[in-house]
Amino acid sequence: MRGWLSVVAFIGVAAVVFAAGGDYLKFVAAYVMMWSLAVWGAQLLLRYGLVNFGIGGAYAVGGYAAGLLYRHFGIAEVTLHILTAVVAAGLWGLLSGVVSARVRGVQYALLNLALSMVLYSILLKFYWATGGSDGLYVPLPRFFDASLGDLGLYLLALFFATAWMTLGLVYSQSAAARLADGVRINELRVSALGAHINRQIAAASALASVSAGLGGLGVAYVTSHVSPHYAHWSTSGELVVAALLSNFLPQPWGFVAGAAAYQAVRLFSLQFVTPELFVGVALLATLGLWRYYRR
Amino acid sequence: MINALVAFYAFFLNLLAVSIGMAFIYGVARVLNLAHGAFFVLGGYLATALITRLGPVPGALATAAVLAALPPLFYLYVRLTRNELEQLFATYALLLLMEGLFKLVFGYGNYTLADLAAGLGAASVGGQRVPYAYFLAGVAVAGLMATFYLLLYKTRLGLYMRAVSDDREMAALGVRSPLVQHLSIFLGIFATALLGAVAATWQAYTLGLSAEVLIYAFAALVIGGLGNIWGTAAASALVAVARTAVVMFYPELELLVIYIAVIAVLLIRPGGIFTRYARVA
Repeated sequence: MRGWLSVVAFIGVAAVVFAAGGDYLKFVAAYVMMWSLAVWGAQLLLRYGLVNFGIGGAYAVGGYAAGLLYRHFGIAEVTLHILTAVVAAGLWGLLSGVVSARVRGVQYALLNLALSMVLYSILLKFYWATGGSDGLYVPLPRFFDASLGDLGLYLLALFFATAWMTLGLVYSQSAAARLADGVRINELRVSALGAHINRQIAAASALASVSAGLGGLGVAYVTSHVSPHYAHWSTSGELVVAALLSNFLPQPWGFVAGAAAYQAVRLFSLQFVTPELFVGVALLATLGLWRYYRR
Repeated sequence: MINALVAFYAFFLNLLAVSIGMAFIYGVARVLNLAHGAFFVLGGYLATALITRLGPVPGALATAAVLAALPPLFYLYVRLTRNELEQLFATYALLLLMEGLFKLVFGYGNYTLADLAAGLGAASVGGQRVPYAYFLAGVAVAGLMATFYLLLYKTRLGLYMRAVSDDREMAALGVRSPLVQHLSIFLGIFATALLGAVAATWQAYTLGLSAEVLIYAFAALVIGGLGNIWGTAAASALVAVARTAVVMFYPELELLVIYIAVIAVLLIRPGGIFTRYARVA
C-alpha cells in the first residue's frame, strides 16, 4: 500500500515542479525522468548480481530508433518511435542476454561492454547512415496530428517514470524477483530447485534493454539529439553507478531518486574546471555515508 | 612490411605494459581496478614533467620515488571496500578523481618524452628508422616479465602467490593470504606506473587516455584468461597483430576488431584462450 501511495506522491511532486519550476528545472526534471528508465534497467540486472557495462547499447538503440526513423523516413510519430524502440531494444536485449547468460561476473560485464562498443563503432564509422560522431537530430515528436509541446513531453516523461515505478512494484512481488534474488545469492541452489536460470537472465536482459531503450528515446527527445556516445561504455558506467546509488534508496521510487541525485551532482559539477574531481568525491561520499548507516 | 612490424611492436609493448600489472593484481588479489589505466598514465605524466624540469637522471629518480609512494596509498584505498561491487564503485570514483587531478595539475597539453628519446638516435632496420628508445622499452618490458617469472616460479613468495591465486581459502591454511595479496597489489601498481613512465619515450599522454588504455588492457585480460600472466602476454600479441593488420588494410574497423575478438573468445572459451582450468562463475 505504501508503495502505491508513494507513486501518487511522486506524481504530485512532478506536478508541482512543472507548475512552479522555471524552464531549466522543467527540462532537467523531464531529462531525469526519461534517463531514470535506463537506470531502472541497470538496476534490474543488478538484482541478478549482474553488472552490465553494456546497458548503454540498448540506450543507444532506443535513441537511434527515433533518429533514424526521422532521418530516413521523415517519421516523427511518437507511437511509431516507441514501438520501434521497444522492438529493437527488446531484440538487442534478448540477443545479448542469450549470448551473455553463459558467463557471470567480470566476464559478463566485459562481454556486454564489448557488444555495446561494437554498436558504438558501427554508429561512429558508418556515418552515411548514422550521422557519425555528430549524431542525429531528433525532432519534437508528434502524436497523430498534434505536436507534443513541452507539456506533452513532460507528461510523457512522467507517464514513463510512474509506469516503471508501477512495473517495479509488480515485479518485486513476482516469482521472477524471488528467482532473481536467488540467482544473486546462490545460483546453484536455484537451479537445483528447477529454475531455468539462463532463460530468466535472457528475459531480464530483454526487459532491462526495453527499459533502457525507452530511456534513450526519451533523452533523445528531451535533448533533440542522439549521438554514438549513448553506446559508449562510459555512458553504461554512469548508468551502473546511478543504479548502485538507487540500490541504497527504498523502492519503488529509488531509481528516479538515484537518477536525480546522480544528474544533480553531474550538472552541479559542470561549473568547475574539473567536474570529474567533484563527481568522484561525491561518489566516495555516497559510499562512505552508506557504509556509515549500514554498520 | 618493416613499417607494420614496428607499429605492431610499439602497440604490443604498450598493451603488455598496461595489462601485465592488471593481470597480476587480479590473479593474486582479485582486485578489478577500473583506475588501473590512470596509474599507467600518471607514470607517463610524472616522468615527462619531472625529467623535463630536473634533467634525465634526477628526474627519473624523482619519478621512481614518487611512484613508489603510490601503491601503499592505493592499498589503503582498496582496503576500505568490502565486496566486488563496492570495489568497482570505489575504483570508478578513483578513475574520475585521477582524471580530474590530471586536468588540474597537468592541464590539456601533450606530455611526451619522444623528443628526448629521439636524441638517443635511431637504428636502421631494413631501410626503416627505428628509434633506440623502442629497443630500450623492449628491454624494460622484457626485464619486467623476467622479474615476474623469477618471482613467481623461483622464490618462496612466488609460491605463496601462486597458491593464493589458485585458492585463497586453501592457501590460508599455511600462507598469510592478505599479506601476499597486498604485496601483489604493490608490485602490480608500481610496475604499471613505472612502465607508464618508460612508455613516455614513445607515447604522448593526454586527458582521457586512462579510460582508453583501460579498455585495451581489459581486452587482453579477458582474451588471455583473467589473472593469467602468460595468457595475457600472448593475448596482447594477438590483439596487437589484429589491430595492426586492420589499421593497415581497413582502418575503419580499428576499434571494432578488438571488441569482436573479445566477444568471440568469451563465447567460445569464456575462461580465456590460454586457461587450462576455466573457472567461470
